[in-house]
Amino acid sequence: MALPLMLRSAQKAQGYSCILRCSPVAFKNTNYVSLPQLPNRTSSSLVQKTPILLQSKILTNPVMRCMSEGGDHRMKWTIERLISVGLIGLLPLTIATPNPILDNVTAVAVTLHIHWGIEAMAEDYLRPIVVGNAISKAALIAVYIVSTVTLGGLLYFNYTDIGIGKVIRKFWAVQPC
Amino acid sequence: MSVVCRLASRRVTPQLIFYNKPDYLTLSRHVTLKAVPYKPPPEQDHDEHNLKLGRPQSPHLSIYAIQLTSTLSITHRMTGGVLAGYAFLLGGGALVLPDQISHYVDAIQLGSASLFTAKFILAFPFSYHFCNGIRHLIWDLGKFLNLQGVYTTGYAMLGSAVVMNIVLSAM
Repeated sequence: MALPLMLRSAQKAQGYSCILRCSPVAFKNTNYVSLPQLPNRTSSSLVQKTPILLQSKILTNPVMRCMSEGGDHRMKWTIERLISVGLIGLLPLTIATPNPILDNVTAVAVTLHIHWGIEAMAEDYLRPIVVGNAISKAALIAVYIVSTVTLGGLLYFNYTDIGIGKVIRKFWAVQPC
Repeated sequence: MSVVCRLASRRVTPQLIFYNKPDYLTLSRHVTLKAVPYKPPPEQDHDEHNLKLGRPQSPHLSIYAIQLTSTLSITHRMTGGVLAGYAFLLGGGALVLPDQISHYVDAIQLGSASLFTAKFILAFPFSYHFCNGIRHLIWDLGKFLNLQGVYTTGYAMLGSAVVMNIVLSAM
């Protein structure tokens, strides 16, 4: 068993040295992205092929592709955290001292926070590979519909009814019968 | 036997005079290669590629050990969804219901124990999401971002959420 292995490896070694001395005819007319002229015989031709492979990797890796699309997320991230911090103080305040201004600010802030939250859930769980392209797109539209109804409904409620702060107080103040 | 096969495919006498252009590839290997132009790989996802090949997916949720970290995280998401439901029902109800919301609130008839239980259950998503939300914001400041910190803040959050819930339900 050792003998064929030795013969095979000797064959291979001879073969590789022959290939390296070949002129790379096959690679002359292929598309390289911003690559300088290939020298005729070099083992570094393998190294110079890696830009294409890396490019394919970025296009096929879903995580890296998502990061390259959609632009800069940094400002959105900061605003999300600011709204979260704002809600920590806003909700107890609007329940403690209900008034129309606080009610409407709470309505907007809560709806924004809810929108980003359910959007993240829809994107994470209703992915095209899992539920198909149609349901994935429909889910995102449904998220926007829910957010719109929530915002519109809360603002309408603040305008025509007693307001968010007062209704929570009223509900909590229900006496046992 | 493999020795015999491999030896049989080789030229026994070395070729000293080349009549045709020597094909180095056929000389060097006992299989022949055909050089073809470079064809870029199809633009598909890792997931799409495996789906097309019909490969099964490895088990993940069904085999991973249940831990505090993941449990608290998914509960945060679920409580967030519940609270979103509260807001959606309040807003949507205000839009579609025939009467004002305050009218329906007046119509609630429950005993004191049932009322406390109902308040406890309804307020728990809020207490949990509130306290865990603060924990998330602490992480966003860069604090407690190690395993020990995650577990410590996790238990602290659970304790404070329960206390907050009891206090709220008693109000």
